[in-house]
Amino acid sequence: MNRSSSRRWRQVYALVLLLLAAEIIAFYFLTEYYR
Amino acid sequence: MGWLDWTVMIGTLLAIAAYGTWRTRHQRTVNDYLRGGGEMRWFTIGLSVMATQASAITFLSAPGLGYESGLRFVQFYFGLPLALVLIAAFFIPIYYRLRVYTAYEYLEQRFDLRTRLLAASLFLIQRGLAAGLTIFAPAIVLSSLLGWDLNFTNLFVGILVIVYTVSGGTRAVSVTQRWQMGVIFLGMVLAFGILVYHITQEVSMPVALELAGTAGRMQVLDFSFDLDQRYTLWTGLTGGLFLALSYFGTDQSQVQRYLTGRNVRESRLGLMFNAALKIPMQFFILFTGVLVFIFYLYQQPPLFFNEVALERLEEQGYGEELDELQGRYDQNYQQLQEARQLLSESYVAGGHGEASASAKSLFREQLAEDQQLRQELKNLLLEVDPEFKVKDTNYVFLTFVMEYLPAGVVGLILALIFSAAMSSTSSELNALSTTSSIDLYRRLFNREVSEAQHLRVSRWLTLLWGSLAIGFALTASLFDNLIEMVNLLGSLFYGSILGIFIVAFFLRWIKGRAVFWAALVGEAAVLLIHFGRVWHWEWLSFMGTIGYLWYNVIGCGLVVLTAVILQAFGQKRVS
Repeated sequence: MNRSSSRRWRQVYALVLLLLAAEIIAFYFLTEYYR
Repeated sequence: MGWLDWTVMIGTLLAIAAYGTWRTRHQRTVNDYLRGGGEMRWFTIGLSVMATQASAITFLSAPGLGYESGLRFVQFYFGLPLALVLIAAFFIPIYYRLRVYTAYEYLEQRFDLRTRLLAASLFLIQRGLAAGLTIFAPAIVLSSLLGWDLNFTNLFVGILVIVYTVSGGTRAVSVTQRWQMGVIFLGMVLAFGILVYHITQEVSMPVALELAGTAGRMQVLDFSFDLDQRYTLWTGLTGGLFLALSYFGTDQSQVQRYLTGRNVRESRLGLMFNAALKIPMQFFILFTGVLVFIFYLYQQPPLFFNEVALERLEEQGYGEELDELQGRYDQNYQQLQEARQLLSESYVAGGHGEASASAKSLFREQLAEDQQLRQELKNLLLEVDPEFKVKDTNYVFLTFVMEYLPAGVVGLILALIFSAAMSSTSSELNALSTTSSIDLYRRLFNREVSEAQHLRVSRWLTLLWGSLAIGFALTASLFDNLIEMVNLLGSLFYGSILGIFIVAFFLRWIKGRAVFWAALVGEAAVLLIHFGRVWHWEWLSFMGTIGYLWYNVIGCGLVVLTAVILQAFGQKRVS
């Protein structure tokens, strides 16, 4: 696999993990709001 | 259930099975039959992975969990995206480079034959038993709620799955799963929409959610480090990660789904599709359960959702106690409604001040009383039969569906439950047949087998595993603790299998001999810990009541550690 493709994959993985972080933060606010 | 529901349900299921069989009727090579010709696109792979994981119990129990305890269960899935990223980055390229049919094939290339056979056998034992349960678990709920014959339900689902899985193999599994996921999405969205409609007839949505929040149903995150708490942020991120790594990375019923891809890119995208969508989807299912909870603040729910249990109480001569309990329950529900009314008025007025605080605490008190009465009923049920399963979580959603959804939609939701059962079962049978055909039959007994013969054997093996699954489902009701035992079996084996794969992928200097013995040591240790706890051995008391989830972590950790030590020690001795 060439270098640019593996860089693109790293970006995809980073995006997925960012989404997870965003979801956890959103859940945090949801939890706090209804506490 | 009226004719419309029957037509929708049977029509949907038969149409999907018939379409799957017809579309995939020409399977000429083993590559076609076991790897779907290796030409699937990412969307099909993504849906297939999702459909395999979502079994009927997901749709029966997750809304029930949402009803009972809110959104907390979603934390269990936090490790999943992490696991899928690791698998996409490290596992998939290697599986593709070696062009394997099964995950266990790789183990022979990396280590040796016996490690491959060990992992394949552990998979066959565990999945072979679990496949029967995938059919049995929803059948028992449906037969109890709808009065259907348990054996008929088992046979109906089992035979339908066998027909298309035997005929079309992996491709039939993928083709049908696309449609089954369609039915599942449509059913869930309809149920959700109808719930929102009913609720907004009574109260505005923001106030409804405030009510659910006051009842503790809207909280997602739990930061506590208490090991007894099954669902916390930390168990989700650690235990959930290990479980997802074992399941998606080493369980053939999942590995086979993404090995059908056209290339590495399609497989990776299929997994990323799940990494992005699984948490929102699970949240949505749990949230539907929360809506059911809100709905039942306006319509009185039954005292216990599995009504067969109540009939049983009456038969056993506990009618009087039951009536008395029911009377108190009805009375409390009236008070609960008053408290709910007071609270919603206070929210409409802004939700601040002393009046609002007292309305909140009154509402919570009434809910606690409601819980207390349910607990009293459960105690009564246990008095009659100490072995009785007093959890009625799996019955909540369908009870609501049967009573309040319009004709036609009920049939669709039942088709949803069956579709979920069938989509998981077909993947399981397909994987069992592939593993026994590639890792056992071809490797051990007939290495020079012809293409046609191998295809025939794979078909027969699918039929054999399907028949075993049905046979198991038909006898499961005879043994009380069977379900727990099978679920437990999964947790007992998963850790060691994952340990083998972690060593294979990440610790390249460790060889077959070390990892094989490490796997046996790890497995023995997990079994020892488990049975030690069952028999209350003193020295294990420090482990408290940790759940099965942690066996994965312990088993995997022990295998990796032992393999490292054995390899290091072995090398020293040689040098």
